[in-house]
Amino acid sequence: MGEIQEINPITRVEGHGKISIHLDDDKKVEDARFHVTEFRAFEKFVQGRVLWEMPEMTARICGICPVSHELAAAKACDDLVGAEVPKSAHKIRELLHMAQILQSHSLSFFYLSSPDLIMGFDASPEERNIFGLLKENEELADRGIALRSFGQTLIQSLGGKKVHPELAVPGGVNQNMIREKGEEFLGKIDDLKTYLLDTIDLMYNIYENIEIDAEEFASHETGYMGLVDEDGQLEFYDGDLRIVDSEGTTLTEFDPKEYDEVIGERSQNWSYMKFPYYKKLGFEDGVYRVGPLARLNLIDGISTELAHKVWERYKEIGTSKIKKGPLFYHLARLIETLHTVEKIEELLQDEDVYTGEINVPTQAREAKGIGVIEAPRGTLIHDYDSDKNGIIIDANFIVATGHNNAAINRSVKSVAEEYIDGSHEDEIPEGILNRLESVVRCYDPCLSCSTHAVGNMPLKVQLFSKDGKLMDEKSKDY
Amino acid sequence: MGKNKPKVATACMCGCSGCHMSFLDVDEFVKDLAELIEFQSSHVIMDIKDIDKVDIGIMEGTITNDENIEVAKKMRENCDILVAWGDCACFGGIMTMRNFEQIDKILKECYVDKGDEDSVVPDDDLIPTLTKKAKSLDEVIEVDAYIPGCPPSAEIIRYGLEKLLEGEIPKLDKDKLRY
Amino acid sequence: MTTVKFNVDGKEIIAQEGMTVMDACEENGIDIPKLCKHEALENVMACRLCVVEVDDKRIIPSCGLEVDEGLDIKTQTEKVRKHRRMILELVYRCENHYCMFCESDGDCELQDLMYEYEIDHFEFPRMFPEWPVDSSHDHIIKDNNRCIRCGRCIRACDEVVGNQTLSLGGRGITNNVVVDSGQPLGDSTCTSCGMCMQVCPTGALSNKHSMFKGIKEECELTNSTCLSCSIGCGTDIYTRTGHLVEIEGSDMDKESGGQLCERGRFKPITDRGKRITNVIYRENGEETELSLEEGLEKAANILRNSNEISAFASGGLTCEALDAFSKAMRAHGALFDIVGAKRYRFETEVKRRINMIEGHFVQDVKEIMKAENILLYDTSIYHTHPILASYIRRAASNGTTLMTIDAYEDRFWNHADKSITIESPKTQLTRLVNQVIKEGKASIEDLSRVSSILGGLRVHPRDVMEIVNLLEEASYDIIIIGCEIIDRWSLRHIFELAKLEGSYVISLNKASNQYIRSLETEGVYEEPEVAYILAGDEEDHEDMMKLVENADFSIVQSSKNSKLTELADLVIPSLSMYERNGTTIDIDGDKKEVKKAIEPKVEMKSEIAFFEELANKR
Repeated sequence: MGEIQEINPITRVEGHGKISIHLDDDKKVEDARFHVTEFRAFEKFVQGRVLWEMPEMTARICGICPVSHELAAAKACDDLVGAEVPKSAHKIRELLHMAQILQSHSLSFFYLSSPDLIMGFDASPEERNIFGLLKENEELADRGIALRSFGQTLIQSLGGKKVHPELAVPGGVNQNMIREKGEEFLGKIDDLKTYLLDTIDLMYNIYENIEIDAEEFASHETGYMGLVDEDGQLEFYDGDLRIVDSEGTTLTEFDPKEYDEVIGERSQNWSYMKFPYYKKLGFEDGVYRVGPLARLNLIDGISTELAHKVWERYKEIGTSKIKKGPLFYHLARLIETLHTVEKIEELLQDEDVYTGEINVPTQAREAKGIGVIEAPRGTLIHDYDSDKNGIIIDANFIVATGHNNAAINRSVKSVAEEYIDGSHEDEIPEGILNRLESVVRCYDPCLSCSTHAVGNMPLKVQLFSKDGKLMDEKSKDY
Repeated sequence: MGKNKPKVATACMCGCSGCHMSFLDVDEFVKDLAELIEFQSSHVIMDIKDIDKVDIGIMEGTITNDENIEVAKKMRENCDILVAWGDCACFGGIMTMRNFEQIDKILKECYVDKGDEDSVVPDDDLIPTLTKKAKSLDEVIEVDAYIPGCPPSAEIIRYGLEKLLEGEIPKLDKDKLRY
Repeated sequence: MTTVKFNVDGKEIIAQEGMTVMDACEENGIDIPKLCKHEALENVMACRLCVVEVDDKRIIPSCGLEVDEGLDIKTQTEKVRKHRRMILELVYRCENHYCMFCESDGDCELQDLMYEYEIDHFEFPRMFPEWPVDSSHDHIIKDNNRCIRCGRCIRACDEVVGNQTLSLGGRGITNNVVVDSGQPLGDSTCTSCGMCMQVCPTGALSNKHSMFKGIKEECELTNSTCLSCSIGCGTDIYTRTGHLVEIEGSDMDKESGGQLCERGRFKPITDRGKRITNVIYRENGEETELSLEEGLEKAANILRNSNEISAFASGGLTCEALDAFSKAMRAHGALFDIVGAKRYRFETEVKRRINMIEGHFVQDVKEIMKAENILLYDTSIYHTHPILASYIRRAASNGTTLMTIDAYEDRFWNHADKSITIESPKTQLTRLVNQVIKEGKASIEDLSRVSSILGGLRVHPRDVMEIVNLLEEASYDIIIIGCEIIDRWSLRHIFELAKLEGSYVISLNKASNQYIRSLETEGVYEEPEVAYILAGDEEDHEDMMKLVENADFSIVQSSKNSKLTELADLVIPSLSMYERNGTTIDIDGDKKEVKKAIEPKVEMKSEIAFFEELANKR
């Protein structure tokens, strides 16, 4: 009889998730799956509330990336009411967004993932965290704290709070940036650039010295999706959606509001989170990834100087320009962070964020409104239907981690198959389990986000006999 | 607290992790905390899976399934002082918006009505069962201190921790209390 | 006035007889918590939060307890605090308050009290009743989930606005505030004044357009006067980083209750008009943009080289702006008029002709609420002077007999005792009324005999007699004449009627600034060489349009794009109402201050300086 070992919960990720490893009689891996175990139902909550509340309400989906939801909601509401957001408001929203990506990526790299990279996957669980990092490499920890703090403080100066700020409204934003504060932030930019460049160098070092080959570890073929600007460059706030294949060739570029025609969703009978895929290629071949790894694979360049240079170097390492191994997510994340710092500098030097119209009057109408944005973890879509009075009658969210569902499952299975060869005694060694968790961490999943939707967290555990017969099956839907 | 560093465990039930993020907003103070406190477990930032006997337990999030109840009870058993962070743990929070509709109806609407003809609403032992209503923490266990907020600011969280380190139960007055 | 001595928290207080304990405490700096009490409204003792311990025995709501000699009051005992804490918790968990995404978060009286009483968790389970959100109204969102049944909105709509749109409906857990007999707010008798929203202590009634744009403590506050009509309501203007957020009525402790109307409260923040920021010159189908300096030169040139110039200004400008404009125009030999001034000139002429003294005219429009009978000519004041309309409704609700005369409909149908709808000019009706009064009631028989004449005039003898009877006793009667009555004859007959019966008169015109009573104006050329229109925020006024269409060359100075500016040959940007400093004269003849709330968003920083320069270039 086979057995199932669980890693529950997955630590150093946001939200509740677990991994199940299905072993055969020889203790070899038959299957390994990634499950989400919470249920949040925001798609239900927002029904019956007014559209003007959407940015504030949906921010509560997530404590790490509330700004992504707030901005996606504001964009969807702009679309609902047909508002043309003034230039200043557009730039102020972008500034908030950059600050968020900066803090979220910093959290992910320095606080959550770096302990594995600096101290090693086999370090003791007691040490493998920010506190251990503080002892092992205080300077690196300090950088992380400073970067995240800068992002959070900038968010606070625009939106009043660090977590769940209040800045974006349908039609624009509610205030200009204050000039004195802008000057203060600009004074710190150079330090941040240095921290990131140093950490990027460190990361290259790690790739060379770590016992895991980044190109091999959980590497697999998928497409990649993300927003691009009109020059095909890295874009977080607006632009068109681009999907490329596993070699980087563009398959399609489309207006994000038409996502429904391009992206399909399927529920597998063994998984609860739906699996988005590129309709044209069908379910198996249409799997794609989102997030830093995906974005740096599909773009033609980066609009800011330093990040562009670093990206060019990044493309050259390894054997392929397109990076397929999830371990590259970490470096990709750092490069994006550098870009956000440069963008913040640009925007804080732009007169438009300090003066200029910040919002336009809005009037509800019966309509559908779609807002798409690149959250730190990938493409985020908010889709609302409103009645003529502005009451939301239906809502659909597709979150980043959802897009990555298939890829995370494949990665987890791949790592399990590589490291669990049946030679372990009773329990799978802790370091191996940590490697499984660490591949999930590469994707920086946001599980509270991904379980916004009602009915989207099935959990299925299957027991197979050695001759492939399904022995037992237990499932649960949320 | 005794001569040794107080042991602290944190847990997140059904929440957005915003309170934990707000905690991390103490920035450099986290280094001081590392000297003053021994963090035993905190799944967002640490790898220890099990909850041991600790002096202070901190919880964020709403109770929405039986796994949450289990964790809450375990925390209560293992902690001398239990602190609730955030509106979700203190009052129930935004998750209680699912209480307007019966959970069975919600599940049916989303799984059966949106699924194919073979879809059912599963009901299994292996996986957490959803509670009928989303609840605040004190509807399930006894709570010693409340720090509301959505999330409570880093300053308030720090104030709470400092009070606990001084051996007091923090109670927010009108200047500090914010929802 | 007799005074009374009593004790509060061990301190001796001296208060006027008849005062409530709560008011006496507040006067002496002792804070008492409250939710249902409001300075503009009657006390109802609904929320019970203001309870105090009396003589160590009972706890009694202090808003309903009259001061008495020797009372021993304690306001913060453990008993009283526990009582208040329980009320707050029961109130909060009865409905569905989600502070985290409520737009009143940080600006909520209920929340402030919850903080003061340190409520950080619930002792009792919540109830989760289901209330749909009513977003049918253009401006106001009514969310019963956040209602605490303080009744302020109901009382405000009744006592201050006189409209009685809101009331309580349902019993037990289904009890909540209803609109009319259960209508959605957007399809009801609501006048869209927003008073209910202003007095609401929670987020149950909120402003669609200001939501999440800033709570009061995040905004700057400017106290000013509204220029939308001649009532000149006091305004509290909230701005943030130089942009309008919300406008509320000030002076809530006065008899007006701090009302505003839809035009004063909501129009400025919902205005989608495109702001004019540059001078535009149109010639031969070509459009060029000019600098302000160039625009000034161009205008001066054109004026200098023309003879028949008609200058016409909006009535919604400050005295200083009107002065400067009129001086500049006169310097160029123009004829000068202001919106609403023509009507005032007719009035003055008629008054002189029939020897009508100023004493017949009401000096303070709030006197309406003391009148025994009101005769209202033209019910359009419901739209033109909504606050005046509220005074009329309040009077009618409190026993005043209200009779209305209108060409099309009675907008006071809910409150009027008698509505006369007559399509022919009111002048005929009034002339007959005057005749009957002079010749005696029996003369109506003779008039009836010439019923074919009456029939042709569509005046019913019954209507004539009703008016005669209404005004006949020597009682305090007020005749109100709305803005649609613009001809000399109607005015003459109505003034004569007032003289005959000893009634008082309120005569309205469309100018917001009653400076028209002192500033010299005259009728202008109807087909001038040049028309110079200072439109300000005025949109597509009929007379302005006619002038621009008939002039050889038109100059329009306006704050935003409109049909008027599309027709003009030279368009010059103007300041908006919130960018001006100055004064205005209201309907009672009082001077009120207009204060700038935001910095001008156009190149022109001072309109007065602009006109001074224009005057110099004659």
